[in-house]
Amino acid sequence: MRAALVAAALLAAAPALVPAAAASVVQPSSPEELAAAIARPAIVLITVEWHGWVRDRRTGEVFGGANGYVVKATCSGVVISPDGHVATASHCVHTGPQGGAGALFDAAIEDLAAAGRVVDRAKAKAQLAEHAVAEGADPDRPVDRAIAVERMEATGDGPIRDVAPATVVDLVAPTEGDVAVLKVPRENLPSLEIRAEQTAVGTPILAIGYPGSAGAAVDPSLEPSNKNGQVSARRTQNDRPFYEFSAAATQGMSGGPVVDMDGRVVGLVSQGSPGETQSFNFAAASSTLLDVLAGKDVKVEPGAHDRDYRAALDHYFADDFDGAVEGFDDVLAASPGHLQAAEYRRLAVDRGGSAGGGASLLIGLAVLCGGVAVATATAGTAIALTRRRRLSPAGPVPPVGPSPVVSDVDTPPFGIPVRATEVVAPVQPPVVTPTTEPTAEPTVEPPVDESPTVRSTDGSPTARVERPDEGEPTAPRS
Amino acid sequence: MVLFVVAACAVLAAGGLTAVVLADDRPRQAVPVAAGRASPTARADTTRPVGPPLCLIGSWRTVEEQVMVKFYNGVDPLPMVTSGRAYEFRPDGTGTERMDDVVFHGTYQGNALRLVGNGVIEFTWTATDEAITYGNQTKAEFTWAYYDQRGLVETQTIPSEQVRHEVDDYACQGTQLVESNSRGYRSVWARTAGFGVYG
Repeated sequence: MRAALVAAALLAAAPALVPAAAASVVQPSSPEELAAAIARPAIVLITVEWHGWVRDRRTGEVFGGANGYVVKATCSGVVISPDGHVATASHCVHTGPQGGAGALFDAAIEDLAAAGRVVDRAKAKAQLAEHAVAEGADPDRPVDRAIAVERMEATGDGPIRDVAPATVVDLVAPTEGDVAVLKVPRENLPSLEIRAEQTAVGTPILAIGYPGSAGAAVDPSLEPSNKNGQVSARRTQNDRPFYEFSAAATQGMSGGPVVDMDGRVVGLVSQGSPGETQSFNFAAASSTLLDVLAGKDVKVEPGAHDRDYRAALDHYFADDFDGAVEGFDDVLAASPGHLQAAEYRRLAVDRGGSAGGGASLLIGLAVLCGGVAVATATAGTAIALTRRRRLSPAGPVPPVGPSPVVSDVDTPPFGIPVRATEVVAPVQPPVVTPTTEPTAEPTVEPPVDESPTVRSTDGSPTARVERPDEGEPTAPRS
Repeated sequence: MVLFVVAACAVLAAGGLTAVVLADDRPRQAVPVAAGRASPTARADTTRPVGPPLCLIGSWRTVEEQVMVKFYNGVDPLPMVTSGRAYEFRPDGTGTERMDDVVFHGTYQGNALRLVGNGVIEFTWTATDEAITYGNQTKAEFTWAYYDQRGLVETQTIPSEQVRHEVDDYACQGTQLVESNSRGYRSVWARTAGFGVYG
């Protein structure tokens, strides 16, 4: 029977399985592919516009003319909570010489170089960093900083670029950890989990972001680059942990996440090593990010839709396209602009998945179970009727000799077979006197060797054999 | 009996599955991306007063000059050539002219003339992208020595303060500046490493 049920279930599930079997297998080609699929939705492009002037404190000379310098810089970042917290490198948003002031210094140096007033740019920047200040429209007023976080969103009319203003929640200086946390007025964003534990040297990683040379600022697709490598070493700079990693990373990727193969944030791309090859870069450790968050009492964790997305990806890469479609639908219901969920959903549909696939299977199984119920009930009824007819006697049961077993069932719980005790037939048929009320069918005598409640005549508490010569004691015969 | 139990189990399973299907009322359609969300606002325009021309600021040394010099009383200014005068234009509108035995050469009636300058002159200035206006001479420790075929004919110490008010045209490009005026003055300057140069 069990085999029959399994066969029936497989038969019922066959329509759902056949398309999947016919579709191409989409196992991830590498762990990096899965990691990229997990992480990509949370990658954002960060654009920072700096506006200000540079003033040499020694001479009072102000560079920037009437309107000041406007410098736009791009970095990468990662959403770390669905409610709009974004992590990036602090040198992208910091107002100091390694951040915005440095960008304005560079602009001033361009002007000065055009005027023949720069001999060595690096030294010139160092001098400005030491003696100059970047400021706003008035002396010592902060420079203007406008941060925007850009990401692609799915809409009914196709992907659009969502540009959100951002504020700085907190940061540590570039030389003291190079981590900043931003906040954008958005909700239900795709986000990544932050890896709390230290990452071992040799751990495979992906560095993800928008290289400046790729022109992400004008690329309509805003597709991030994934660079694979591994953690090469753990370093410390000013008592802050950094990871040296072997993945390539260029300037625009600053602030982008370095993720492990589970898509968890290991660190944030921080800086390259001057004079070294590109595959020699540093990432601010995730522990610094966690410290910054703790310092502001900001608690971040992925949302339910992030977990759903991960589960849906697992369905997808396991060729369960129905499950994948349903999972991605759940993601899109909670995070409507989730572009990758929309993309993977389309891929799953292309491979035969459907939104109702799972429900269809359940309905099929329910119908199958119903059929099984009807069939087995019918069969049971028929067998019961047959048995009843067989049990109905045409006349009295022969009182002598062992009776045959009449039950159709030979296994518990309908009766434990008891080894029949051999009963010696009396000389005369005994008269059975029941101690209880007569049964409904008094003419039917139970077979003496069948019922476990019937004992042999010498031990039966319920039956007594009477003989005429046992009524009174008799005198001994001479 | 077994069949009845199987049937009962099958009924329960069918009921359970049906309940699961009916209970699965999750939304299947993505709701639209929320509209009207905050977006970046345009930056307010702010300005600062324009400082002096970037190119003019710094230290210079003349490499080629032709100047008109009043050498003799009663004789119109004579053209003379020289080089080696040093200037420093500071962004606060002050400047310095320095000469260390700078010799101006000229001729008059076939005789060689020399004018030798020594000392420092402080002055004020303003400039546009095309013209320098020399204002007041605020400090001077400077002497002119006049030589002709007779030798040193006169030495003059200029007043420490005087109104100058001279406007010259100029063109500055990188490390070279050319100053001139309509009175026959033309001077080519080269930027020197010193004040106003970074790196």
